[in-house]
Amino acid sequence: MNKLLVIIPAYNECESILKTIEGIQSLNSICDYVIINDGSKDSTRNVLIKNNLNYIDLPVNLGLSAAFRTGMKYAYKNGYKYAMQFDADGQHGSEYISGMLDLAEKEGSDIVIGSRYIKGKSQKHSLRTFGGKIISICTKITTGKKIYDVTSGMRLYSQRIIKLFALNYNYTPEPDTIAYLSRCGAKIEEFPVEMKERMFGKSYLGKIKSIKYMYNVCVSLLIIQWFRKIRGVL
Amino acid sequence: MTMNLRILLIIGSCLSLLYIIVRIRKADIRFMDMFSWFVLSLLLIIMSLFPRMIIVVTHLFGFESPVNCVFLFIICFLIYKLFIMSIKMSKEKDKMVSALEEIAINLKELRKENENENTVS
Repeated sequence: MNKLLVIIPAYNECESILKTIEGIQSLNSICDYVIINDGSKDSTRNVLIKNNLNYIDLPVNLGLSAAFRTGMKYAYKNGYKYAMQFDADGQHGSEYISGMLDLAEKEGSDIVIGSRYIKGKSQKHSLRTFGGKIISICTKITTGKKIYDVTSGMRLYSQRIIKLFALNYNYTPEPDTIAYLSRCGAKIEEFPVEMKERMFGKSYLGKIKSIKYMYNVCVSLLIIQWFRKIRGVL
Repeated sequence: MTMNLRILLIIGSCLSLLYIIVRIRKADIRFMDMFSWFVLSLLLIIMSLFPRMIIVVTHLFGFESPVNCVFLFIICFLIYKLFIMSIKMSKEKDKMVSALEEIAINLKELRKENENENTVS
Protein backbone atom coordinates (compact mmCIF):
# COMPACT_ATOMS: atom_id res chain seq x y z
CA MET A 1 0.00 0.00 0.00
CA ASN A 2 1.29 3.43 -0.95
CA LYS A 3 1.31 6.60 1.14
CA LEU A 4 -0.97 8.54 -1.18
CA LEU A 5 -4.54 7.81 -2.21
CA VAL A 6 -5.87 9.61 -5.27
CA ILE A 7 -9.61 10.15 -4.92
CA ILE A 8 -11.49 10.50 -8.20
CA PRO A 9 -15.17 11.47 -7.82
CA ALA A 10 -17.01 10.58 -11.04
CA TYR A 11 -20.52 11.42 -12.19
CA ASN A 12 -21.43 10.37 -15.72
CA GLU A 13 -17.82 10.26 -16.89
CA CYS A 14 -17.91 7.05 -18.91
CA GLU A 15 -16.11 8.71 -21.82
CA SER A 16 -13.17 10.24 -19.99
CA ILE A 17 -12.61 7.97 -16.99
CA LEU A 18 -10.40 5.44 -18.83
CA LYS A 19 -8.03 8.03 -20.19
CA THR A 20 -7.85 9.74 -16.79
CA ILE A 21 -7.09 6.53 -14.94
CA GLU A 22 -4.34 5.52 -17.38
CA GLY A 23 -2.08 8.31 -16.16
CA ILE A 24 -2.73 7.43 -12.53
CA GLN A 25 -2.21 3.70 -12.97
CA SER A 26 1.24 4.40 -14.42
CA LEU A 27 2.13 5.93 -11.04
CA ASN A 28 1.31 2.81 -9.07
CA SER A 29 4.64 2.94 -7.27
CA ILE A 30 3.73 6.32 -5.79
CA CYS A 31 -0.01 6.28 -5.25
CA ASP A 32 -3.12 4.16 -5.02
CA TYR A 33 -6.44 5.36 -6.37
CA VAL A 34 -10.15 4.97 -5.78
CA ILE A 35 -12.92 6.09 -8.13
CA ILE A 36 -16.11 7.21 -6.42
CA ASN A 37 -19.05 6.52 -8.72
CA ASP A 38 -21.55 9.17 -7.61
CA GLY A 39 -24.71 7.41 -8.79
CA SER A 40 -23.86 7.78 -12.46
CA LYS A 41 -26.77 7.17 -14.79
CA ASP A 42 -24.65 6.38 -17.83
CA SER A 43 -22.35 3.41 -18.40
CA THR A 44 -19.64 4.64 -15.98
CA ARG A 45 -20.18 1.70 -13.66
CA ASN A 46 -19.90 -0.83 -16.49
CA VAL A 47 -16.65 0.78 -17.60
CA LEU A 48 -15.28 0.52 -14.05
CA ILE A 49 -16.26 -3.14 -13.70
CA LYS A 50 -15.11 -4.18 -17.17
CA ASN A 51 -11.64 -2.69 -16.66
CA ASN A 52 -11.23 -4.03 -13.13
CA LEU A 53 -10.78 -0.58 -11.62
CA ASN A 54 -10.80 0.15 -7.90
CA TYR A 55 -14.11 1.91 -7.24
CA ILE A 56 -16.80 2.67 -4.70
CA ASP A 57 -20.45 2.87 -5.73
CA LEU A 58 -22.64 5.48 -4.07
CA PRO A 59 -26.27 4.26 -4.05
CA VAL A 60 -27.60 7.65 -5.20
CA ASN A 61 -26.11 10.88 -6.52
CA LEU A 62 -24.94 12.79 -3.46
CA GLY A 63 -22.85 15.56 -5.00
CA LEU A 64 -19.15 16.32 -5.10
CA SER A 65 -18.70 17.04 -1.39
CA ALA A 66 -20.23 13.74 -0.31
CA ALA A 67 -18.42 11.77 -3.01
CA PHE A 68 -15.12 13.29 -1.98
CA ARG A 69 -15.83 12.67 1.69
CA THR A 70 -16.54 9.03 0.89
CA GLY A 71 -13.03 8.89 -0.55
CA MET A 72 -11.62 10.55 2.57
CA LYS A 73 -13.42 8.04 4.80
CA TYR A 74 -11.91 5.24 2.70
CA ALA A 75 -8.47 6.87 3.04
CA TYR A 76 -8.89 7.22 6.80
CA LYS A 77 -10.11 3.65 7.27
CA ASN A 78 -7.13 2.33 5.32
CA GLY A 79 -4.59 4.54 7.05
CA TYR A 80 -3.31 6.54 4.09
CA LYS A 81 -0.85 9.33 4.94
CA TYR A 82 -1.99 11.59 2.09
CA ALA A 83 -5.12 11.89 0.00
CA MET A 84 -5.53 13.84 -3.20
CA GLN A 85 -8.56 15.18 -5.01
CA PHE A 86 -8.44 14.53 -8.75
CA ASP A 87 -11.01 15.22 -11.47
CA ALA A 88 -12.36 12.40 -13.62
CA ASP A 89 -12.89 14.57 -16.69
CA GLY A 90 -9.26 14.79 -17.79
CA GLN A 91 -8.66 18.42 -16.79
CA HIS A 92 -6.04 17.52 -14.18
CA GLY A 93 -2.61 16.22 -15.09
CA SER A 94 -1.25 13.15 -13.33
CA GLU A 95 2.29 14.33 -14.10
CA TYR A 96 2.11 16.76 -11.20
CA ILE A 97 1.15 14.21 -8.55
CA SER A 98 4.64 13.17 -7.53
CA GLY A 99 5.79 16.82 -7.41
CA MET A 100 2.90 17.73 -5.11
CA LEU A 101 3.60 14.71 -2.89
CA ASP A 102 7.30 15.61 -2.64
CA LEU A 103 6.43 19.19 -1.69
CA ALA A 104 4.02 17.98 0.99
CA GLU A 105 6.60 15.63 2.50
CA LYS A 106 9.41 18.18 2.35
CA GLU A 107 7.49 21.08 3.87
CA GLY A 108 5.25 19.06 6.18
CA SER A 109 2.27 20.78 4.57
CA ASP A 110 -1.31 20.01 5.45
CA ILE A 111 -2.67 21.06 2.06
CA VAL A 112 -0.88 21.33 -1.28
CA ILE A 113 -2.96 23.10 -3.93
CA GLY A 114 -2.29 22.51 -7.62
CA SER A 115 -2.30 26.15 -8.62
CA ARG A 116 -3.01 27.47 -12.12
CA TYR A 117 -2.23 31.10 -11.38
CA ILE A 118 1.00 30.93 -9.47
CA LYS A 119 4.23 32.80 -10.29
CA GLY A 120 2.50 35.47 -12.36
CA LYS A 121 1.68 33.12 -15.20
CA SER A 122 -0.35 35.13 -17.67
CA GLN A 123 -3.62 33.36 -18.21
CA LYS A 124 -6.18 33.83 -20.93
CA HIS A 125 -8.64 36.24 -19.32
CA SER A 126 -12.11 34.85 -18.94
CA LEU A 127 -14.96 34.92 -16.52
CA ARG A 128 -13.36 32.03 -14.69
CA THR A 129 -9.96 33.70 -14.13
CA PHE A 130 -11.62 36.99 -13.17
CA GLY A 131 -13.81 35.15 -10.70
CA GLY A 132 -10.76 33.29 -9.42
CA LYS A 133 -9.02 36.61 -8.77
CA ILE A 134 -11.97 38.00 -6.81
CA ILE A 135 -12.12 34.84 -4.73
CA SER A 136 -8.37 35.10 -4.05
CA ILE A 137 -8.82 38.66 -2.78
CA CYS A 138 -11.60 37.51 -0.45
CA THR A 139 -9.31 34.74 0.82
CA LYS A 140 -6.54 37.24 1.52
CA ILE A 141 -8.98 39.42 3.47
CA THR A 142 -10.26 36.60 5.65
CA THR A 143 -7.13 34.56 6.23
CA GLY A 144 -4.32 37.06 5.69
CA LYS A 145 -2.73 34.53 3.40
CA LYS A 146 -2.37 34.99 -0.34
CA ILE A 147 -3.58 31.86 -2.08
CA TYR A 148 -3.37 32.18 -5.84
CA ASP A 149 -5.75 29.45 -6.87
CA VAL A 150 -8.21 28.75 -4.13
CA THR A 151 -10.86 27.06 -6.30
CA SER A 152 -8.49 24.54 -7.87
CA GLY A 153 -9.93 21.05 -7.55
CA MET A 154 -6.49 19.47 -7.46
CA ARG A 155 -5.56 19.38 -3.80
CA LEU A 156 -3.43 17.09 -1.68
CA TYR A 157 -4.34 16.66 1.98
CA SER A 158 -2.27 15.40 4.90
CA GLN A 159 -3.29 12.72 7.37
CA ARG A 160 -4.70 15.05 9.99
CA ILE A 161 -6.88 16.79 7.40
CA ILE A 162 -8.06 13.37 6.18
CA LYS A 163 -9.18 12.60 9.72
CA LEU A 164 -11.10 15.90 9.95
CA PHE A 165 -12.93 15.26 6.70
CA ALA A 166 -13.71 11.64 7.52
CA LEU A 167 -15.09 12.20 11.01
CA ASN A 168 -16.94 15.53 10.71
CA TYR A 169 -19.79 17.04 8.70
CA ASN A 170 -18.91 20.57 7.78
CA TYR A 171 -15.77 19.96 5.69
CA THR A 172 -16.12 20.20 1.93
CA PRO A 173 -13.64 20.41 -0.95
CA GLU A 174 -14.57 24.09 -1.36
CA PRO A 175 -12.60 27.35 -0.95
CA ASP A 176 -14.28 28.36 2.30
CA THR A 177 -13.13 25.16 3.96
CA ILE A 178 -9.58 25.91 2.79
CA ALA A 179 -9.81 29.40 4.27
CA TYR A 180 -11.23 28.01 7.51
CA LEU A 181 -8.48 25.39 7.78
CA SER A 182 -5.89 28.09 7.14
CA ARG A 183 -7.28 30.06 10.06
CA CYS A 184 -7.16 26.90 12.17
CA GLY A 185 -3.44 26.69 11.54
CA ALA A 186 -3.19 24.35 8.57
CA LYS A 187 0.02 24.70 6.55
CA ILE A 188 -0.94 25.43 2.94
CA GLU A 189 1.45 25.32 -0.03
CA GLU A 190 0.86 25.80 -3.75
CA PHE A 191 2.39 23.84 -6.61
CA PRO A 192 2.29 25.19 -10.17
CA VAL A 193 0.19 23.08 -12.53
CA GLU A 194 -1.53 23.46 -15.85
CA MET A 195 -5.00 22.19 -16.46
CA LYS A 196 -6.55 21.13 -19.74
CA GLU A 197 -10.04 21.75 -21.02
CA ARG A 198 -12.71 19.12 -20.45
CA MET A 199 -12.41 16.16 -22.80
CA PHE A 200 -16.08 15.25 -23.11
CA GLY A 201 -19.46 16.08 -21.76
CA LYS A 202 -21.00 18.94 -19.82
CA SER A 203 -19.10 20.88 -17.23
CA TYR A 204 -20.21 20.74 -13.63
CA LEU A 205 -21.10 24.44 -13.84
CA GLY A 206 -22.89 26.39 -16.59
CA LYS A 207 -22.49 30.18 -16.99
CA ILE A 208 -25.23 31.37 -14.64
CA LYS A 209 -24.35 28.62 -12.23
CA SER A 210 -20.72 29.81 -12.34
CA ILE A 211 -21.72 33.30 -11.25
CA LYS A 212 -23.93 31.89 -8.52
CA TYR A 213 -21.03 29.69 -7.43
CA MET A 214 -18.65 32.66 -7.31
CA TYR A 215 -21.17 34.66 -5.29
CA ASN A 216 -21.67 31.78 -2.85
CA VAL A 217 -17.92 31.34 -2.43
CA CYS A 218 -17.33 35.05 -1.77
CA VAL A 219 -20.18 35.21 0.72
CA SER A 220 -18.93 32.11 2.48
CA LEU A 221 -15.36 33.42 2.58
CA LEU A 222 -16.27 36.91 3.79
CA ILE A 223 -19.15 36.14 6.13
CA ILE A 224 -19.31 32.49 7.11
CA GLN A 225 -15.81 32.42 8.55
CA TRP A 226 -17.00 34.44 11.50
CA PHE A 227 -19.58 31.78 12.29
CA ARG A 228 -17.18 28.88 12.60
CA LYS A 229 -15.39 28.33 15.85
CA ILE A 230 -11.64 28.13 15.31
CA ARG A 231 -10.85 24.68 16.60
CA GLY A 232 -7.41 23.72 17.73
CA VAL A 233 -7.95 20.28 16.28
CA LEU A 234 -4.84 20.47 14.18
CA MET B 1 -45.07 54.00 18.02
CA THR B 2 -44.32 54.39 21.71
CA MET B 3 -40.74 54.51 22.93
CA ASN B 4 -41.24 51.37 25.04
CA LEU B 5 -42.41 49.40 22.01
CA ARG B 6 -39.47 50.57 19.92
CA ILE B 7 -37.00 49.56 22.61
CA LEU B 8 -38.71 46.17 22.97
CA LEU B 9 -38.49 45.55 19.22
CA ILE B 10 -34.85 46.62 18.99
CA ILE B 11 -33.80 44.45 21.93
CA GLY B 12 -35.90 41.52 20.70
CA SER B 13 -34.47 41.58 17.18
CA CYS B 14 -30.88 41.93 18.49
CA LEU B 15 -31.39 38.99 20.84
CA SER B 16 -32.80 36.86 18.05
CA LEU B 17 -29.82 37.65 15.82
CA LEU B 18 -27.46 36.76 18.66
CA TYR B 19 -29.32 33.52 19.30
CA ILE B 20 -29.15 32.50 15.65
CA ILE B 21 -25.42 33.22 15.50
CA VAL B 22 -24.71 31.25 18.68
CA ARG B 23 -26.77 28.24 17.51
CA ILE B 24 -25.07 28.20 14.12
CA ARG B 25 -21.64 28.24 15.72
CA LYS B 26 -22.56 25.60 18.27
CA ALA B 27 -24.10 23.21 15.77
CA ASP B 28 -21.22 23.77 13.35
CA ILE B 29 -23.87 23.68 10.64
CA ARG B 30 -23.44 24.71 7.04
CA PHE B 31 -24.07 28.45 7.13
CA MET B 32 -25.73 28.60 3.71
CA ASP B 33 -28.54 26.40 5.02
CA MET B 34 -29.26 29.01 7.70
CA PHE B 35 -28.70 31.98 5.45
CA SER B 36 -32.33 33.09 5.11
CA TRP B 37 -32.83 33.05 8.89
CA PHE B 38 -29.75 35.19 9.32
CA VAL B 39 -31.01 37.66 6.71
CA LEU B 40 -34.45 37.76 8.34
CA SER B 41 -33.04 38.62 11.75
CA LEU B 42 -30.87 41.35 10.18
CA LEU B 43 -33.95 42.78 8.45
CA LEU B 44 -35.87 42.75 11.73
CA ILE B 45 -33.11 44.78 13.39
CA ILE B 46 -33.10 47.27 10.52
CA MET B 47 -36.88 47.59 10.64
CA SER B 48 -36.88 48.16 14.39
CA LEU B 49 -34.15 50.81 14.10
CA PHE B 50 -35.72 52.62 11.15
CA PRO B 51 -39.53 52.41 11.43
CA ARG B 52 -39.81 55.27 8.89
CA MET B 53 -39.24 52.68 6.16
CA ILE B 54 -42.32 50.74 7.24
CA ILE B 55 -44.46 53.90 7.45
CA VAL B 56 -43.49 54.83 3.88
CA VAL B 57 -44.53 51.40 2.60
CA THR B 58 -47.74 51.51 4.66
CA HIS B 59 -48.85 54.74 3.00
CA LEU B 60 -47.72 53.54 -0.41
CA PHE B 61 -49.95 50.46 -0.34
CA GLY B 62 -52.67 51.72 2.02
CA PHE B 63 -52.23 49.33 4.93
CA GLU B 64 -54.43 50.22 7.87
CA SER B 65 -51.48 50.29 10.22
CA PRO B 66 -47.71 49.82 9.91
CA VAL B 67 -47.74 46.68 11.99
CA ASN B 68 -50.02 45.01 9.39
CA CYS B 69 -47.32 45.63 6.82
CA VAL B 70 -44.70 43.96 9.01
CA PHE B 71 -47.03 41.01 9.68
CA LEU B 72 -47.64 40.53 5.98
CA PHE B 73 -43.93 40.61 5.25
CA ILE B 74 -43.14 38.04 7.93
CA ILE B 75 -46.07 35.80 6.93
CA CYS B 76 -44.96 35.86 3.29
CA PHE B 77 -41.44 34.94 4.36
CA LEU B 78 -42.69 32.04 6.47
CA ILE B 79 -44.95 30.71 3.71
CA TYR B 80 -42.04 30.85 1.27
CA LYS B 81 -39.67 29.13 3.73
CA LEU B 82 -42.19 26.39 4.47
CA PHE B 83 -42.81 25.80 0.79
CA ILE B 84 -39.10 25.51 0.03
CA MET B 85 -38.61 23.18 2.97
CA SER B 86 -41.49 20.97 1.81
CA ILE B 87 -39.82 20.62 -1.57
CA LYS B 88 -36.45 19.86 0.02
CA MET B 89 -37.93 17.30 2.38
CA SER B 90 -39.73 15.54 -0.44
CA LYS B 91 -36.51 15.36 -2.47
CA GLU B 92 -34.53 14.08 0.50
CA LYS B 93 -37.12 11.37 1.13
CA ASP B 94 -36.89 10.26 -2.48
CA LYS B 95 -33.11 10.15 -2.25
CA MET B 96 -33.14 8.15 0.95
CA VAL B 97 -35.67 5.63 -0.35
CA SER B 98 -33.69 5.27 -3.57
CA ALA B 99 -30.47 4.70 -1.61
CA LEU B 100 -32.12 2.05 0.58
CA GLU B 101 -33.43 0.26 -2.53
CA GLU B 102 -29.91 0.20 -3.99
CA ILE B 103 -28.47 -1.09 -0.72
CA ALA B 104 -31.06 -3.89 -0.63
CA ILE B 105 -30.17 -4.94 -4.18
CA ASN B 106 -26.45 -4.80 -3.42
CA LEU B 107 -26.92 -6.95 -0.32
CA LYS B 108 -28.75 -9.55 -2.42
CA GLU B 109 -25.93 -9.58 -4.95
CA LEU B 110 -23.39 -10.01 -2.15
CA ARG B 111 -25.38 -12.91 -0.71
CA LYS B 112 -25.57 -14.55 -4.13
CA GLU B 113 -21.79 -14.20 -4.52
CA ASN B 114 -21.22 -15.68 -1.07
CA GLU B 115 -23.48 -18.63 -1.87
CA ASN B 116 -21.65 -19.24 -5.15
CA GLU B 117 -18.30 -19.15 -3.34
CA ASN B 118 -19.57 -21.58 -0.70
CA THR B 119 -20.95 -24.03 -3.24
CA VAL B 120 -17.73 -23.85 -5.28
CA SER B 121 -15.47 -24.43 -2.27
